[in-house]
Amino acid sequence: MSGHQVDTRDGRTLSADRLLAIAAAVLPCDLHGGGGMVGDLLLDDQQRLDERTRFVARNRLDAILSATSEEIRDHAAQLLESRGEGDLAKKLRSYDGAARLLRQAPAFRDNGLVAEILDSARLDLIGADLPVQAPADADEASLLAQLVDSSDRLVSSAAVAMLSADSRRRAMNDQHGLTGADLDAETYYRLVWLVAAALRLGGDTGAQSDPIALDHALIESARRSLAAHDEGERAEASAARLAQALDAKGDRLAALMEAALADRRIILFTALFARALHVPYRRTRALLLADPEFLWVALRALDFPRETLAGIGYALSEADKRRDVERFASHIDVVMALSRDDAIRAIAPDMLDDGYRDALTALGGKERA
Amino acid sequence: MLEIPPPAVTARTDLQGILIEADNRIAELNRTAGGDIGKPVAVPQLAALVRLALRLRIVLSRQIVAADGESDVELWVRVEPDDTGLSLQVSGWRDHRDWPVVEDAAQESDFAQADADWLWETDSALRITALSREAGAKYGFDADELLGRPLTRLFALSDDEGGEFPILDALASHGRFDGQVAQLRGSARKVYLAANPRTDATGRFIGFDGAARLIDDSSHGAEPEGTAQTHDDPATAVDSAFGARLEKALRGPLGRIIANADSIRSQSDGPLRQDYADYAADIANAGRHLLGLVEDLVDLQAIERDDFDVAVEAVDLADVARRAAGLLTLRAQHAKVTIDAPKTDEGLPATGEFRRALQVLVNLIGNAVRHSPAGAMIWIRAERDGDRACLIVADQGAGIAEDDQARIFEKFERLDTADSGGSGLGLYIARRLARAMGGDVTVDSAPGQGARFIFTLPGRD
Repeated sequence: MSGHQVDTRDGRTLSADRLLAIAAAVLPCDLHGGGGMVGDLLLDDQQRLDERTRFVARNRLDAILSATSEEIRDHAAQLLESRGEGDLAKKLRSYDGAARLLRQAPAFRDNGLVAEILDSARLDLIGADLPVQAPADADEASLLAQLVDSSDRLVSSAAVAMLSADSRRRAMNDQHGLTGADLDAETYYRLVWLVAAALRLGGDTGAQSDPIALDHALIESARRSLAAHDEGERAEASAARLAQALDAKGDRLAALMEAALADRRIILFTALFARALHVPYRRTRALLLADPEFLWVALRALDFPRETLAGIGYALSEADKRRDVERFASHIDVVMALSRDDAIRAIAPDMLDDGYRDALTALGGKERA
Repeated sequence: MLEIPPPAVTARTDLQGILIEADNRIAELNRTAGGDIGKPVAVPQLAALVRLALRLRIVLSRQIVAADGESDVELWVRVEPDDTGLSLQVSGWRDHRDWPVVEDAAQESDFAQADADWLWETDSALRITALSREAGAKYGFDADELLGRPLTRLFALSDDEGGEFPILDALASHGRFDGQVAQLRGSARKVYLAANPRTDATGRFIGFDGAARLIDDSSHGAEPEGTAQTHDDPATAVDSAFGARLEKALRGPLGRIIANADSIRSQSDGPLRQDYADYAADIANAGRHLLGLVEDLVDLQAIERDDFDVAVEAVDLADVARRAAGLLTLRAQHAKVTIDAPKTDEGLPATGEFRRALQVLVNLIGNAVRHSPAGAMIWIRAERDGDRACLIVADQGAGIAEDDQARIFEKFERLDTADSGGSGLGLYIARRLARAMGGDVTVDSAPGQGARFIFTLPGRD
């Protein structure tokens, strides 16, 4: 049976000349994926991402990049059309390589956006793996539902905001529909300008029409996106508000943090932790993800009872493959033997303000070990 | 309905982790691992948890997989330290499978989700913990006002004809429910509610994953999905609304599964460990298989409608047979079976719908491939018999006893119940299609003598 002919070349054609040109132009640094493969091979297992994290983080990154670049590109094209720059608009609309251009740029790697997405994905995955346990009393409402009932209006509304942000994020995870609204203002600001620049570099193909018009349209479009950004709906922002409203200390804080883990609200747990330590959320999250010992010593610095330390350490070890629960169990007595002051001193360097720390480094000062 | 888990079995150790007493089941498991009362716990995963609990001194629970003789068993273990030692509670005792089997409950949940107008979730106390955001704006309620509040603040529940509340029954039994009629508070709109229970590893209820579907004014009073309506054949008709819902629920996700699995298998985004690529190939094949079953069910639903009609075209049955054989070449090669199709210069003019005729022949030849031993031949012969055009598919398989020859054309019948390769609808659909085109599918066979399936259509001169 002969079926219809199928073009197996995806419609792209290569002339012989082009083929020869491509072969001749391979630079030494293009071998081994531009050094990426060699770097990957040399990484310690501890430093490598597992497939699941890589998949989730990559999907989120791609989703945010394409959503943002489409938004800026399409609005800029509209502006160009309304100003009589139809050709430029058309070229811009047809350009879909902004995300790729950004991913390959070294500057993109270092600007904190990717780290933010990666850390948020890693934390969410740990949260998803937290042990599921029915409450002792089935008629007792879950933590956030109880907080919604609080007579304190600030607590109640912050709890609602958390549930709302969570619903949104979950619905989006299912469809990978993440947008810039999930980023904090500072990260989003950097992203928007990078995207606008990428569109400029890719969208301008040396057309006869006015490149200045392209610049203006992109800038206006970027500013519009920035103005519309509302970071208040982010789960992290709601969690910080709730932690602030609860203003918990001592035993109450310990109980809340354990309850947050039991209700599998890891973002709330991290926010409570961050507030207690007077460290920004992002840094707390990064420390939680990077350094298993940090958690133990920091919980000691908060003067939590042994049972709380044990409970939190166990739950997180079950959920986070990088944590060794045996090691934790062997060292818990050592940690508890530390004085509270010693514990505070031990984590002090980790808790320096980022701005302060960066400035120290810039002026040539060494970070304290 | 959730299965009621068997009651937990218990055991105790002292402060050094030595087993001092144990219910029979745990004692047996422990003995199989080489341990005994008066010695340290021998089941490695249990021992690890015991040691952890002795050092951490808090209640710990964990799901573990332990060897139980030749097989593995999944257990849920809870360990509680006290002044003199540890108490262990072990429940679950489920066979461990390497690949998680999709629970019926999860499948039902997927159907409900695909079909719903919006989704909701509660905790164990039936407080709303998640709600589709757009739903509020669309259907006139403020989602923010309802988060954390009791479910009944959103829905005013109605009893059904028997005075029952499906949701209450489900709550009592921690099972799933559907068809619960409710009214959206603050509006006149009515919805059907359905939900699946979420449970922890011991089987305790932790909340509902729910769906809401608006009740159309036109279908008000109509039975919700799952209840069979009478059609032309009261005993076995498939409700056409159910069929449509099934198709919608399954096609999309299946398509995505196959596409994604194929792209993983082809390693188009970068190299992958070979076993992952192989798993992906398995997933894609299973997905295709399922899609085939879905398509059978969709066909079934189509051909059982009163308004089912076929086109009247001029077809060449010999050509159709060659095409069908071609489509099955790979499968035949894989099964080491040779198909002897009509030669290219042979023709057999007939009247029917090309697409449907192809479908019938793919089914008949596919069956022949499936039932032929390795090394066998399948002959396809085109013959004219008076005013009928006959296409005969003959195989060298095991043959079909006379008693079974009528049965195989019935719905959901398969002679070999262990053969999960198909839906049991193929021959039923093939015959219905043939008859709709003015022809038929018949069989001529005896055990040990292979089978000849004869597809006839009105002949054309």
